[in-house]
Amino acid sequence: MNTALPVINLYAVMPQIVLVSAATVVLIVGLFERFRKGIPYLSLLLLAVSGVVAVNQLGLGPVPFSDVSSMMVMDDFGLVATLVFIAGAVLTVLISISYAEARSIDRGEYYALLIYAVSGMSMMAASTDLFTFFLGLEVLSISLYVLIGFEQRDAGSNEGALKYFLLGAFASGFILYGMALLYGASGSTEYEAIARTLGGERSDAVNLLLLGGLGLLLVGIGFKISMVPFHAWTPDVYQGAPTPVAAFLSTGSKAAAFVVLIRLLGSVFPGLQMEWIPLISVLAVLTIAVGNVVALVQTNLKRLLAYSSIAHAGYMLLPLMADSQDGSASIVFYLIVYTAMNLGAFGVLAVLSARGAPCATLEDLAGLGSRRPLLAAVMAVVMFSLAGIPPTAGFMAKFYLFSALVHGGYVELAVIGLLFSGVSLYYYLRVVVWMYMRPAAETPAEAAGRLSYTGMTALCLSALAILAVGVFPSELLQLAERAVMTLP
Amino acid sequence: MELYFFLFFAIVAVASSVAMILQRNPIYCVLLLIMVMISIAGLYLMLDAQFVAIIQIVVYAGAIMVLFLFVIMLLNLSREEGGVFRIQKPLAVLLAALLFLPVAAMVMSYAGGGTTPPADGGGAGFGEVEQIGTLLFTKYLLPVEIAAVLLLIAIVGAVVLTRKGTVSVGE
Amino acid sequence: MIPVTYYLVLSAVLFLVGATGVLIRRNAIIVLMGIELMLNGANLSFVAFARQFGMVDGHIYVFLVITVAAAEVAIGLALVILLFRNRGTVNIDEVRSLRW
Repeated sequence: MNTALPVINLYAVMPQIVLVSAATVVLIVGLFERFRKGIPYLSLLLLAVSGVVAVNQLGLGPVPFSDVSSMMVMDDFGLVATLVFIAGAVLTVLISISYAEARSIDRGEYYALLIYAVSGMSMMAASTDLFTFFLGLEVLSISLYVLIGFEQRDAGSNEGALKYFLLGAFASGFILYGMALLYGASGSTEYEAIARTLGGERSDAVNLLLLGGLGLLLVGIGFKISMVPFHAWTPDVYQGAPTPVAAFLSTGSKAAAFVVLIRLLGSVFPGLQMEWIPLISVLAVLTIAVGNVVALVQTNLKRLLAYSSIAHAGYMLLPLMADSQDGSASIVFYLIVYTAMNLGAFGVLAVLSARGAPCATLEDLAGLGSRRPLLAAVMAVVMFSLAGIPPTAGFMAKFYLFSALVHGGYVELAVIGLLFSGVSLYYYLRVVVWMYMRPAAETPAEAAGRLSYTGMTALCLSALAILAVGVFPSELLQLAERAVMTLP
Repeated sequence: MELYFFLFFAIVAVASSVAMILQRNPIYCVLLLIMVMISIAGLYLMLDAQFVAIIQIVVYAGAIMVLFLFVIMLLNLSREEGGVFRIQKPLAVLLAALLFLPVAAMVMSYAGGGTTPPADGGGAGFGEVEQIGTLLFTKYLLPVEIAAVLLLIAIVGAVVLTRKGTVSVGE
Repeated sequence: MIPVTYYLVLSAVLFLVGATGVLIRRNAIIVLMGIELMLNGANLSFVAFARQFGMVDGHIYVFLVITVAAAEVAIGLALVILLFRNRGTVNIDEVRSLRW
């Protein structure tokens, strides 16, 4: 028997190959005790290398994987998303160093799994086939299950991991069944084939299969982006997970799911707009409302940030309705800014918790402004940005998002979003008030002594980036626009 | 004749799966799930999917379910303490029923689409190892590689999670 | 030949029985088994559709889904063992943060 082997274009999957190899190298080097201190720096170096590889490929145009199938295509959209994930991972590694050492989880596997997770996200972003999307999602999820449960002896950590695992696997089941229905409708799981089926004549039966498939996919992805009513796991898991992992979870994995959502709703399912637009707009408004209102009464900082991240997911769902390049570009822009903001916020907690008792509640922040002026300043910038106050990046992100929405003719949704971001001012500014206006407790929770240099570097970098983008947003906006240009 | 086989497997599968979610003893649950797997393997054979049927029995029923059994034995969970079901049980059943209606409607409506498959299937060799192997290494090369990475992560993850203590090699 | 619809109805039933199991059971291991049942339901539709189209692509999806299921089960059971070590229970209601 003769089988012609396919002609493979490795450029189509180069960033993923580099990331997977990087993770494997970290894994192997991590086995040697004498390199233990160097592992995080090795991971940073390898992440930088993969970043360079991805930058080099920008503008090459879409490259399909092989001549017989195009399961993954490296276009600018996938590359920009990959770069965002890599940047998020770099910041996560930086804030992990002292935290992981203090809790003796600074093993090679920790950093290796972090990079494997990034490779999974990158696979999701570049997929043009539901099946590679599913496998990328599993690569990401399985790495995250382990990372969340990494603090073996901490009951909160493994309860959080089990909860995320059971709900994540449940969501995967929904995604898989949705894929089966879409396969039945179009005879293939490729995005293009599904879009073709949607574009052509379709019988009622096929229509129902498509609708059911889309619905089940949305349930599954809704779990991942913690969309109401599938958000209940978020606060518990963020609270249980090691703080740097929670930072990564709230930015990277959410961003990856959003990137897939942009691809799916924007270029595969426009034919079903009549059906999904009302559904998504109701759910988006509910997500914004629940996130912002419940965040008002939180005193635990990780839970507060969890509800805030639910609210932000709601904002990012809104421009999907606008169905325009502007809308998609504003989501990509928001995702980039959101990654910097949320990593900054969780990063402050991680740096503070690295020594001594974990920094958990608002009371622990009291007097931070006089004890740790630099850290408090970073936290203030991040909180202003999350609230959307100029001149921070958060303001520009919200501005582009709502203007895309208004251009798309959804003025009511924009107004609702704006009203709720007004509500959110209260809980973000409360954090700032606690830091600067409340006297410190007799014995501050965190131990005295210097904070980790690497963590502070990461935090200052993200705060500076937030301010810089807030003042000069055009460069980043151009990047976001260029990314969505390559979408069909 | 074929219909009887189908009905036999279908009834065994549904009955065992319902019994599984109602059964108190975890070991019986595993055995019932193995019953479901085997009857599904029978259905795969009826659908000319020989390779998948074998994989279903060897890997799913034979390896994955034995892992379950192993963990249950290891943790000595032969009986469940306290109440078996959660408080929100009525709610859950209601939810499942609500979910079932649209799915059933959708699948039923598909009946109109002329769905009796061609008797000769996909021609000679449909569903046999040769055809599947060829596809795995040509069209589906990339997913197979990703699955390999996935298994590596799972191995590393399982070891990391269950290793006792945090003492590393060489310390 | 049996109409594909029969298989699809059966697969929907198995999927939903699995989902119900996930929602009503307290034992984490049995919840995981419910998830396995859901995956099996989806697999059955893949194979049924593959037979209808006369293309083996569906079989390959099933092959890969079984791989994914194996990976998920390995991690899930590791987490259950860890929970048992820390808490002495596998019942998710008795665990504070697992109320949902």
